[in-house]
Amino acid sequence: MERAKRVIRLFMKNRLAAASLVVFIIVLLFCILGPLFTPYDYSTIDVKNCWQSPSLQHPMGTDGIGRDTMTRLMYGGRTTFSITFTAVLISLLGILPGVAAGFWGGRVDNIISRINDALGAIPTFLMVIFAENMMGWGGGNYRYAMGVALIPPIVRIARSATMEVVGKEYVEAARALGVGSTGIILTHIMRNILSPIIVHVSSSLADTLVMCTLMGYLGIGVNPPEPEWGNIVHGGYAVILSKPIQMIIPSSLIVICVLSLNLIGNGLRDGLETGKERS
Amino acid sequence: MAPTFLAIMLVVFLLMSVLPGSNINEFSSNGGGDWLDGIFSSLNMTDSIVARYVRYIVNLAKGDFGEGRSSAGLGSNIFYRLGFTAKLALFGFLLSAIIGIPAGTLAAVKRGGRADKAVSVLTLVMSSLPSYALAVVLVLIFCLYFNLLPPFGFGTPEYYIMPTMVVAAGGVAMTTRMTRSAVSGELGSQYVMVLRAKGLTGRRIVWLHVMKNALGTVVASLTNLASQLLCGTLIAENFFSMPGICQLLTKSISGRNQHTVLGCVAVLSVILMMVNIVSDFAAALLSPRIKDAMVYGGGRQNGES
Repeated sequence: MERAKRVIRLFMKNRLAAASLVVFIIVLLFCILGPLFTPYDYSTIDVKNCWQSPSLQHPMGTDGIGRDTMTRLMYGGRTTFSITFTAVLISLLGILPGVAAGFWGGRVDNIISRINDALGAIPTFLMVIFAENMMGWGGGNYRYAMGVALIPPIVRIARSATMEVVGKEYVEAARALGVGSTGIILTHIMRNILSPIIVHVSSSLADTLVMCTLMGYLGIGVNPPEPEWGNIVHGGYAVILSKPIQMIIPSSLIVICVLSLNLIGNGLRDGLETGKERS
Repeated sequence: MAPTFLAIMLVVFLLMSVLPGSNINEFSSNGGGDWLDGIFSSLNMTDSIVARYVRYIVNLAKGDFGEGRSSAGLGSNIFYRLGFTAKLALFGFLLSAIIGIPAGTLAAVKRGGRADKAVSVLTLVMSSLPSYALAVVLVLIFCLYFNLLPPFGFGTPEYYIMPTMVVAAGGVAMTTRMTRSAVSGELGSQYVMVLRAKGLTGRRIVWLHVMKNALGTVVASLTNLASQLLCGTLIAENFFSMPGICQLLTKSISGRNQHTVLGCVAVLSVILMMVNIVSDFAAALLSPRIKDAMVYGGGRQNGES
C-alpha cells in the first residue's frame, strides 16, 4: 500500500503522464456520457445532409449517408474500448500458466513454454479472421481472438518474473517455515510479478486499441452500421481526395487516445522502476 | 523446420475445414442432391481430412498449389502477388535499418541529451500512429497539397514511395528502440572502459567495437521485425490498392478459397522461417560467442573454454 502511494506520487509528478491521464479520461467520458447529450442516433440515415463538413449542427460533420460523425464516434468509442479492455482482461489469464511454469520449472515449464511458443507463432490477424468466421461476422467477436493472441507475452513475463523471485531467500525461508506452494505463490510471488505485468498491460492497451481499429479499418472487425473507430475512419476513405477532413477527425481521435495511453504506460513504468529502487 | 511447417499447415488446414460454409455435407444435405455429390467426389472432396491433407502436402512438394480462381493457375498468381509484398517489405526493411540504426546509436551515445529526447519523442509518435492514419497524412501531404506523387495504384517506382513509408514506420520505431538499448548496454561494459583508457576516440569505439557487438542483438530480433513489416504491408496494400499477397490472403479466407489460403500461408511461413534462419546465421557471424557454440557444438556455450 505504501509502495502504491509512492508510485502514484511519482506518476503525478511526471507532468506528461498526468496530462495524458487527464486526456484519456476526457476521451473516455466523451464516449460514455456523450450519447446522453447528443440529439442524433448513430444509425439514422439522412441523405440530404451527407458528407457535411463540421458545422454547429454537426460539430464533426456527417458521413456518406448523413449520420452524425460525432455521435458515431461516441458510440464507436464504446465498442472500441469494450473490445480493447475485454481482450486485455482475457490476456491476464496468461498469468496462471506463466507463474506455474516459473514456479515448478522442469517438465511443467517445458510443456507450457512449447504450447506458448506455438500460440505466439500464429499471426494475430489470421486468428482474428478465423474467430470472426467461426463465431459470426461483424459483431466484435474477434475480441476473444485478440485476447488469446495477447496471452503469450504475458506468460513469458510472468514466467521470467516468477523465476527471479523463486530463488530469493525469503521464499526459501517461507518454505522452511512450512508455507505451502499456494501460500508462497499468493503472498510472495504475486506481489513481486505485479509491477512488470502492470507495465506490460499498460503498454499493450495502446497496441490492442490500434489492432482493434485496424481490424475495423480492414473490414474484418466490427462492420457498419455498428460504429467502431476503425470502420468510421474507413468510411472516409471514399472521399479522401475531396474531403480529407472525414478521415482526419476520427484518425486524430485514435492517435490522441493511443498517444496518451503510451505516455501513461511510460509514466507508470518510470514510477514503478524508481519506486522499486527506493523501496 | 519441416515439422514446424507441417504443423502450421495442419492447423490452417483444420481451421479452414471447420469454418462454417466450407463443410461440404452442409451443401449436400441442403438439397444439392446426387449432382452436387458427384461434383464433390470427382474433386476428391469426400475423402477423409487426413487423406486430403497428405495429398495436398504431396502436391505442394511437387510445386502444385492446387486450383485457384485465375486462369493462369494459383501458383503463378501467388508469386505474382508475392512480388509486390516482397518489394514493399524489403524497401521497408532497408528504410528501417538505414534510419533506425544510426538514430538508435545517436540516442544511446547522447543518452539523456537533447538528441536522445528528440529521438524518443519521434519513436513514440511513430509507434503510436496507426498505419492507416500515417497513410492519410502522407496522402494529404504528397498528393493533395504538393501534388507530387500518385495516390493509389502500382507500376512505376513513384507508386512505391508512400506504401514503403507506411510499412517502414513501425519498423523504424522498433529498430531505433532495439539499437538504443543494445548500444547503451554495450557502452556500459568493461571493454569500452578499457578502450577508452587506451585512448581511442569515442567515435572509433562506437562504430568499430560497440557496433559489432550491438548489431548481433539487433539482428537477432529480425524475425519480430519481419512480422511487424508483414502487418504493415497488409495495411499499405489495402490503402494504396496494391495487389499483394496479404490482401489475397484476407480475401480468400472470407471467400473460403481453401487452396489459395493454404498456398499463401505456405509461402509466407516459409519466408518467415527463412528470415529466422538468416537472422540466426547473421547473429552468429556477428557474435563470436554464438559462432563458437555453433561450430564446436554446445560445449563452449556456457563460457567453459
